[in-house]
Amino acid sequence: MEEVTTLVEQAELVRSIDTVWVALCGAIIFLMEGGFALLEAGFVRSKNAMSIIAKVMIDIAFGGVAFYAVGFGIAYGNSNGFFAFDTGISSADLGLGLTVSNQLFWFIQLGFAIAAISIVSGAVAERMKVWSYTLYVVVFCSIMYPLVANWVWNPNGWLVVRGFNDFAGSAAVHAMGGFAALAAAIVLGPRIGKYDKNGVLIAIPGHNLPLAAVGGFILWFGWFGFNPGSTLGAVGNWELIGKVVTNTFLASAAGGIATMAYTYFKYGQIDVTMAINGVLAGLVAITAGCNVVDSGSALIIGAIAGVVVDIAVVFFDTLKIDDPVGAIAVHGVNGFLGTVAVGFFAAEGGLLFGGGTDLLVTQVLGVVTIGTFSFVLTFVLMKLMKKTIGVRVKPEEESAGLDAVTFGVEAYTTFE
Amino acid sequence: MKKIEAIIRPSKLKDVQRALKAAEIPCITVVPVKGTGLQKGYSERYRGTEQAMILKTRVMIICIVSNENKEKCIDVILENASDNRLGDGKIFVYDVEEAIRISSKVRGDEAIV
Repeated sequence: MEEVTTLVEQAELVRSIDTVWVALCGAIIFLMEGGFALLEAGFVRSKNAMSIIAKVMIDIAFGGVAFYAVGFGIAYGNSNGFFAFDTGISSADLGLGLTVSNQLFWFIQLGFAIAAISIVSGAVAERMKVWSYTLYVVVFCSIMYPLVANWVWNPNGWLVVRGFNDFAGSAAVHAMGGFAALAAAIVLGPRIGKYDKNGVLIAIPGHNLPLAAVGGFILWFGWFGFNPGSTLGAVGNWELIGKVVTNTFLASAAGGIATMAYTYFKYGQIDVTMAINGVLAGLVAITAGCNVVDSGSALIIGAIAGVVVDIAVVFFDTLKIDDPVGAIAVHGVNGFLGTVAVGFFAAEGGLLFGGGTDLLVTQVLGVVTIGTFSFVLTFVLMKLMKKTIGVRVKPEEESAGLDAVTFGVEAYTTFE
Repeated sequence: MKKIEAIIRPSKLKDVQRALKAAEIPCITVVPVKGTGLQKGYSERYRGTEQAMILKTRVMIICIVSNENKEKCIDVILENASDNRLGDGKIFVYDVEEAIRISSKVRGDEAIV
């Protein structure tokens, strides 16, 4: 009798410890929204600073409720490998071996869903109509993102079955959001004044770079909930959590170093705003593989990401795809890179570690599918909205600023 | 009465203000300004893109002084605002028709000291 009681108590203790861990990480991840808001607000002009805050609020509020009502059931319900049709948060066993309640699991997953959509908010900044954006957010968080989460993280998902390794979502969150951002930016077109009559690129500097940096630091902090929180439990994971946080840090630092070195040798000066993107690129790239790569590999992955992001920012600019905050370069390109990197660098199964090409093929297949799915669906949806309700504000409104016209508020009032 | 408008380097503001106070011309108005003189602006980079024609940051000091204080004020600014090179700024002098202190309603030279 005594032994039985002890077993019950032990199980209860495990649930309690895991609950504390997941609740903590969930809250840390939630703070990343503040990071997105400040990063994006700093990188846009002051006349649109409040509109971007509003867009992140919409991500959380509309996106969060959509993910509760529809999204979560599609992502984690009883899946046939491609989709599921539960609604709300079921009380049934999700098959993930959870030691936390389904509600708490929903909360931490909410953080991932709204992070993915917040990536898009940066790329459409300063020119997208607010209600069209809201509609897109609802579709993204209730259907698009949950389908991908289903493939990648539902125990029956077709990518899970193939052995796809995307620990915290380089593909499911970052490539998903990044490629959606790419499609949205293409349909919207560049901001007025980004290119002159002859198509020559003109920089539109952000209005408050220290604010953007604070946003970057908050995101950096948030990643230490984002990656280790994906263990979904502390008990039995003490070694894994240590490995994940170390890899997460090393990749981010290497990304920062690589960007500083690259811009220093290319331009003669360190580009600080690019260094923020470099750190974030390292973080995005290690997100998929932080559970399976060695520390040395984490440094290499981060360093590659830090260089790739600099090239990508300039590359998209020359393609006349206007991404005010660099969301496509940071999240899309490096989400892709990070997912593929697992195929090369995984200590077990990685090509460079004698594991053959099986994992690499699966990683490429997964991220290409997710990127294509996200890009095509967003492109079609944006085109449909463009034909019907419109996606872009009037030129007069764009010149005056979304803050004044759509929201009737100024970020910085001049007197008093 | 004269209005003396001087565009100077921000790094010289404290020196000029201190010297004006010492010369008993304590009333100044300062405006942050952006502009370019003969040097035609310069270039910066923003996220890999070259930006031409960046306007330099300067401050504009406005002093309203009596006719007899005009030269003293100009001298103080000339002495304290210069690095002896291009970009030091310029001084402009205008006639002022009237000055009225709002609190006591006094007018003329009395209102500006």
